[in-house]
Amino acid sequence: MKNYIIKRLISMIPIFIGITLISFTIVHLAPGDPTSMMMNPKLKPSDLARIKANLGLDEPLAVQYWSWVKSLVRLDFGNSFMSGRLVSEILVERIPVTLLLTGTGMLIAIFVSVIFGIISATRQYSVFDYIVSLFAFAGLSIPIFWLGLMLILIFSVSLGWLPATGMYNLRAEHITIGDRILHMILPVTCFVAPSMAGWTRYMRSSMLEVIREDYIRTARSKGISEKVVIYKHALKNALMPMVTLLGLSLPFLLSGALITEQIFGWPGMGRTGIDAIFQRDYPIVMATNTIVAFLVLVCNFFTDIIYATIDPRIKYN
Amino acid sequence: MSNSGNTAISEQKHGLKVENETMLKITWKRLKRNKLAVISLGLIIFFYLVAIFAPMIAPYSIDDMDFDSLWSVPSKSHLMGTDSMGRDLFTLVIYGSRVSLTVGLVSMAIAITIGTVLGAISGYYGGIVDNIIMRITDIFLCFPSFFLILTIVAMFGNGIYKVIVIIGLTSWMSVARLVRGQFLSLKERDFVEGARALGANDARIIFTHLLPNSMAPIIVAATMRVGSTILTEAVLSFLGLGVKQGTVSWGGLLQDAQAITVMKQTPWVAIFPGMMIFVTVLAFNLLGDGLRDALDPKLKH
Repeated sequence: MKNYIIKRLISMIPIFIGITLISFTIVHLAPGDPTSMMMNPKLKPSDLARIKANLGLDEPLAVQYWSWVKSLVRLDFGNSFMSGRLVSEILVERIPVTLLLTGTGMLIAIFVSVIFGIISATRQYSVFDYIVSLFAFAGLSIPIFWLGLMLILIFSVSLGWLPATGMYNLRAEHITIGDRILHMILPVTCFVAPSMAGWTRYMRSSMLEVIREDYIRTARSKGISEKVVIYKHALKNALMPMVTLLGLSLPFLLSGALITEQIFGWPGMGRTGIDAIFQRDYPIVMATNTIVAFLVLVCNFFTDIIYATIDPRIKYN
Repeated sequence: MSNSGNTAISEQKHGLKVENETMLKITWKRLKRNKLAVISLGLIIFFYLVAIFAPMIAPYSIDDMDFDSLWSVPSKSHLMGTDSMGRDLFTLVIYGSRVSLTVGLVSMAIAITIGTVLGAISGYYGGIVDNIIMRITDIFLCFPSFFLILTIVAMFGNGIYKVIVIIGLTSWMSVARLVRGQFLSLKERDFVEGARALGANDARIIFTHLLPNSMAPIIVAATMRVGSTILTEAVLSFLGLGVKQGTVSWGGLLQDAQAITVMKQTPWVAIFPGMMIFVTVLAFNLLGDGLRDALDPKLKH
């Protein structure tokens, strides 16, 4: 196990270098640069050249890459080209906002998908199973942004029950929990739909596989009640693949709400990222890509380790 | 499978062709039992026909603006209503299907080709080649795919061809892993050993033995990939980054619909294009799921 961990850690180094290379290259090899977005007619070409020099964009790419990686290791992502603020400062401010949305959504998704998955599997081919499968397919196929638009159309525009955008009522004097929850209902529903659909299908097939195993038949033949067989004996093993799925989905907490945030005006990471892309704010774009990719790498690693510890059937060498 | 003896004999006579035919027949026979998959297949063919013959089917010309009926409710003369410029939404939706269906199919073809080639090389040759290809795959898999695509499209500019290539170049990884896995397990099997003993070279083993036997999961992945690609293109166009301004696409039509005032006055502008995306993607996913069952040799009916 120790050797396996060390081996995995070493193999992560070239991948991390690859991540930084791609993040950097995509942004810097593209035609045009941030100064082309500065449309102020008062700016003379010499001013633009000075701005470029100040941002360090006139140096050779290799030099730029090296200084970017060096500061990256110190967790310094540079300053935003547009606002001049520290990128890390902006991220620290925006990440909790996103986590509120995605974290709530993910908890709901896990809870619902595990329960629906179990019921679907234990009553395979029932009406319930059929409906759950249909909803799962719908959730995987629906365009998120259209779902968002339809939710706004129905619940905000037509019925007027729920607020369409923002995190809180701008006109209210105090931000109350109730107000916050009201503002969260639509974006969370929108964010949750595809992951809930995918996980339910996953949980269902995982459970179906487990309840066909010999030890479940043994448990049943011993006269143990069906409830205990399912929720005590089968569930433990059926949840095992869900651990992998969950581990691999953790980076999604940061990157998953891009479109949802855009539609519902939720001021989190996703919106910051999209705005940065439109404004060619290189430091923010590179930081966002690199951080999420790095998180994926780390979560993959821990998922493998945890999986190996909780499932004694898996042996690594 | 009662005439398996016959099949074996004719296989020797005619090589692979006969086997492919029976394979197709078996798959179709199994697929026919899945009503949802057959309906989906029918819908997909129908949508492609409509897209191809759009100018003949659309009731109006694409740049017809009827100033007498701005924002008109869906009616007999305008099946899906009209938008703020008096354009017939039904016509726009028909023309818009061309973008989605083209991007879906071509991007999928690019991704599947790259993935299959890399996965095949990786799985067949193993060793250091495998190691390098798989590490590159790992690197690409680390990126949040949509944000990566968004970044590249925003940096390198939009337009349908760029979008097709960019989506294709960033979504081959899962296919590469899939094909590699198939090749790894297949190359140890007896029939490959037999072929090698008979003097078959690498190319022959890869193209006549390993690849045909890996087709089932590749076909399923390809079908599902079309759906997810259509979704990606739709979001890009919705954000104004997909096809160029002036090209009609389903996602682009929804871009105009997101203003609250538009939704209040003309909700149908927001409803129909999105519903078309939804139905199309759903059809590809249901067909892919049906094909998975139909192509699985372990399932016996």
